[in-house]
Amino acid sequence: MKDKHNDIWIGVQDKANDPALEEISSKEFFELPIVDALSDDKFVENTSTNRRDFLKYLGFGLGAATIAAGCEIPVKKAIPYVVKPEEIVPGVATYYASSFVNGGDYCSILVKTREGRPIKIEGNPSSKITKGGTSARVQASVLSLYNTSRFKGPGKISGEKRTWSDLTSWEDLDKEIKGKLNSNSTIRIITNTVLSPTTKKVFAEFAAKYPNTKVISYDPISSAAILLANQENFGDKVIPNYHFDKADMVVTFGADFLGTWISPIEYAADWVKTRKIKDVKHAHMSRLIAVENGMSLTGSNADNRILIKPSEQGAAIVTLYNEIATLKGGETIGENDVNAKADAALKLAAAELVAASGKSLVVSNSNDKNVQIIVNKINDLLGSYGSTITFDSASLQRQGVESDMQGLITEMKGGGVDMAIVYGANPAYDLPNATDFSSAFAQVATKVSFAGVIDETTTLCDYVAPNNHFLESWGDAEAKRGQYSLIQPTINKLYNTRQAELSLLSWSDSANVNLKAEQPYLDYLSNAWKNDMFAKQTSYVSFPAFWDSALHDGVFHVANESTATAFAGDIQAAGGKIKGAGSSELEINFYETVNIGAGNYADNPWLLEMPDPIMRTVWGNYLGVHITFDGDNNYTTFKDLGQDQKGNTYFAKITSGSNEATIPSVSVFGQMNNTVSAGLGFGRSTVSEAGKEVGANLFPMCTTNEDGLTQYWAAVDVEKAGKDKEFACVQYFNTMGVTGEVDGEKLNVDERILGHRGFQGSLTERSIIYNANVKEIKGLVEKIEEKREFADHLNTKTLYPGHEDKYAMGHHWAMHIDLNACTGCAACTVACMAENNVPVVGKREVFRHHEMTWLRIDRYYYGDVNNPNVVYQPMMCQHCDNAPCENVCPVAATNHSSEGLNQMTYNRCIGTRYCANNCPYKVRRFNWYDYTTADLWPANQYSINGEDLPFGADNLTRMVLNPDVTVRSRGVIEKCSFCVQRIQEGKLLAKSEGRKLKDSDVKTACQTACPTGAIIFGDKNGHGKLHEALESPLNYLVLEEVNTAPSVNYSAKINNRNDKMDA
Amino acid sequence: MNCHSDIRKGSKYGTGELYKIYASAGYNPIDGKYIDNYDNMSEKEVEKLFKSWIKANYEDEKGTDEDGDGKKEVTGKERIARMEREINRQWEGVRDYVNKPIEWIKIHNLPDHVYFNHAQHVSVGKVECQTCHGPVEEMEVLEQHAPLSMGWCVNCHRETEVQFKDNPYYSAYEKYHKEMKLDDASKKRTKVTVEEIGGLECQKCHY
Repeated sequence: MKDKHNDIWIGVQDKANDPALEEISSKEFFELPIVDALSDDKFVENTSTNRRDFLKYLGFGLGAATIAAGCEIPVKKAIPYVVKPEEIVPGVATYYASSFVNGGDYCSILVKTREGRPIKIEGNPSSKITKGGTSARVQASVLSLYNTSRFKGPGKISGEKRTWSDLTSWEDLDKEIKGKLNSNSTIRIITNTVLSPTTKKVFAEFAAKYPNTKVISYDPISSAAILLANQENFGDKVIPNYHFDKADMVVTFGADFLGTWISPIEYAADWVKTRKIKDVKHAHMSRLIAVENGMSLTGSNADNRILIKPSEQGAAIVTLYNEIATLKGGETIGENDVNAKADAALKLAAAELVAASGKSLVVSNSNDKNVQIIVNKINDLLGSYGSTITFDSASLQRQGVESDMQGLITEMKGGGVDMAIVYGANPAYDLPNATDFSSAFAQVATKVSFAGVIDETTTLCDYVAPNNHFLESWGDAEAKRGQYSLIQPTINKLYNTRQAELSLLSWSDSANVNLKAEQPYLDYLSNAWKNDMFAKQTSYVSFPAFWDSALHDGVFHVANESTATAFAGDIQAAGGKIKGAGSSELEINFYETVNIGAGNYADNPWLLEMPDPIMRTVWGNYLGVHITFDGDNNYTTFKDLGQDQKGNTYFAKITSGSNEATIPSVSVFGQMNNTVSAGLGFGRSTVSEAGKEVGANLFPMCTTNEDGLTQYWAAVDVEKAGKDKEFACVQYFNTMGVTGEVDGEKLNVDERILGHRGFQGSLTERSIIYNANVKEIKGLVEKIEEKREFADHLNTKTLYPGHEDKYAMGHHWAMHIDLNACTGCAACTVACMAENNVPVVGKREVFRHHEMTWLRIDRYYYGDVNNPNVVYQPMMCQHCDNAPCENVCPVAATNHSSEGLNQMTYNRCIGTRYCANNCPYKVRRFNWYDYTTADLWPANQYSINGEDLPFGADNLTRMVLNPDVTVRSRGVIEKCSFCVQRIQEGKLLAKSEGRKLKDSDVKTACQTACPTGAIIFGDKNGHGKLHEALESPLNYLVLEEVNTAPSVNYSAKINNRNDKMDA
Repeated sequence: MNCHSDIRKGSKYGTGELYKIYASAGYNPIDGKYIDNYDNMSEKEVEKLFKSWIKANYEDEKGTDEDGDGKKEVTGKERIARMEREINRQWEGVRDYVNKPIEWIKIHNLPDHVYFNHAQHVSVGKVECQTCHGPVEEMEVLEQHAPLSMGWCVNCHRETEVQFKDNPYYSAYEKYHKEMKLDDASKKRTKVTVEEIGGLECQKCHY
């Protein structure tokens, strides 16, 4: 533990060298909760299997086998196309460029379709914004197309009980709605940020027909204060263009720009450019300081974290401003106190920022306009404008101002609104005063919703005109000024839905659209582009040629000049309005989670099963609480919450005024004392199947300030409220090489079991993570060299000699993962689930350690126990050339290929699980149940979570399955295959074209999903990018000393921490 | 449709079955062209077209009596009536397929856990259709020729030579190329089989 390059921990128990963990680890598989679960009466009840049923199944099993053996092969019929669409070749994927848009969330994408159905989303490298990167939300969006709870057609909701009745046709709906409209009607369209210029045109047409129409736009996780401050200071109400790639020094006050803030895919790619170590001898990297209370994704990637209470943010920013102003010779403003430690650290940060003037950047997620004005002034003093912040190509990804929404609530209460149209927003859930909204909304005579699936606001509406899914729609988006992209349908409408824009055009009797046309909105859209976009370019002389190219590329960029003025603002006035720290004992910070946003992704099972990057929990929101170490191995947690020694945890009852919520608690390193944190977006009350009863809704605890802007923190009380019997946290499931103490000596846990000192497996110091400060990089390189030499020495003997020849020719697949580029965003985890048909198992199964993810991201802490740094390690099958799993399989279901792949053959596997026991990386997954109903026998098809159909059993949901990958059945092991289906496809392409294989032929799903390029896959025998990456002296193999000869290379984590800040 | 061109008119399975394909896709067997505007034609027009083709292809089977013992010769009006009956019979079988897909009975079935790619075998490996499907050009009713069992696949991979020399893709297999260039005839490699480039490994077909 004393070695500074290898002192890592994953959580409380191993930091404390907890004997319970040692015992657990000594058994390799975490057993206690399973025993608990099996002895739990409720579980037996849930599975509804009693002894008699078991005998019945057994009887069925025998009978069924006889039937199967005696019965003839069923006749399969193939139905061909009458006229085959030109672009479809059965068995070959077709890609279409499109855009993912959900409120202000944006990503330019390529949609992979097979036989006409979208099955996977890839990033679009032509985009200047997302540059081919994606996020977990983008990857999961394809599953939402096949959501079984989508509206099947237009409908009417009426009566006390809000009963749904189908409308027979869209004409009926149009007639009823038009009957309620006249030219004097007061109409309000409620939206989140709208990125589409053509949709805005449609709004304008509607407003021309009905002049008393207003569009009210707000964002549930708001950046309104930035918009308002920029309007005041620069005359431009817009999110500026942040250039994280140009900043040497970044300070973020709560803005989680790598995870959730405004445009995380873009910012992560830009920021990581400044963090990759290209040349070890002249290593240079930027610095990032995160000022926050709970560990955010950005905070976990930061070099230093400064801990402040949520209420202290304004005061902290003023402190930073005053220090910078003093250094730069500007006017100071009156200041409130921040905690002494933060005060000292902020002064150091100020000096660093000033030293990096012109190359520094300060951002904040504060939703107080006055605070954002001070942030603007700080950036102005630092000379950020024109370098790290510009107003050309400014971002349009947050446009909403929720005070407008508060105004609307007042207006509706007075009965002044005749019709409200809800377009892609859910204010009855995600406003802090959602109940106020709901009662005011009831005063509106006619309420129409465009929602595609049921939500809280839609149930309050009178008419539902369901919108298409974005994969069924035409459309466009302008995520940054001048950077346009198109949305094109990749599948025919699954249900009788209609694009919302067409509904509006129909109600406004637009002369510009022919609703009877085959694709009316395509005509409208292309006309709009003909009139507006075509003239902006000179490359094409005819519009059809321009349109085709824009549609093919998915994006269209034009230069955009800044119209903003120089900074002007009264900082004294703004500073005077900034409040000091609150005096309450405990403050909570509500944050947007990386996976489910403000609740608009809360019904997506892939995202719900994706572990939170920091807490490593699934299916719900959890309360992060502080841990105090006494300087040695003993710890206490805040109010005894968080995990106990057996890995159980306790519910926490949160009380804020009249609002209460009870969620499980997790002890989190780096959580400030006397503060707690919890994610928003959970606890949806009216939501489609998968999102039901997941977590608790904390929006009601948010508050609104005097400007009508939402504040995402509160003063609360927290108390312990019983044990969580289904704590689904994947933190300790896959522990590698844990150390413990025996007779005063530090040993590895498996060393105790083996009892042989000096044996290969008994090294006390395992190579899992290497890390160093950038200033000490030379020492790290030496250390890695030394360790690898030692491993080489241990590894001179091999059990499998004589394969070198085979590996040396043809291909030898390998991967390189740059831990310095990995931000832990988990886009790869979800991409892997989508590509490889990895089943969703649900909370209960995750709790029982039955999670199925092939690619997990291990999160390790290192450094200062009170304020640690974090390193993320994507961990999947290492495709060891001396694989320990292969030689224990009694049926050779897992074996090695001449191309270096560790092959898993499902049809050969009999489920002994010896391989999983023998895998030192813990990457093998066992199908305890038939999670995707791959099997013939209904006896294997449990509904594990009490649902009618297991996730992925419905025929609609199954449309998302990748036909190139076998759907595994119960009783077999599965694991990462290095996307062998993509390898085979790439090889075939090269063979068919009669050429050598190149880098672009084979890319794994995790590699293409990664926004920062942390993962490189390729042929070790080739000369591509992988070859280059393998040369870095920072590379190492995980557990190299046990002689598994893995094919995945990691390069060490380098930080740029300033230790003085923690003094 | 050329694989069916050998099935002549009057054949038991021939004309009627073949016309279903023409009806489905709108193909004119007389001109050998697809019919313009086929999906907008009225049923009457289509019927007229098809009946004229069936008539043109109608081959009189020596004018024997089909209803009786087959010995009595039929002539004149009776013969014409018989032809019309046959034309109508065939049309009845065809009419349901106008602009509609034909359900093919899939007889070459592989289990779901097997990945098979035609391009790999036909375009790259230059394997003949008949190697797996048998003499399809002679089959009136298509039948499964090969067992399509794992043993059969694997055996073929053991014996089949890779199209090694002409495809630059295989330059990655330097060792084999060197062995092929050896002067010593006894050591010189003459061929590379699919097995030798990993064709027997599980994940060539199972993933």
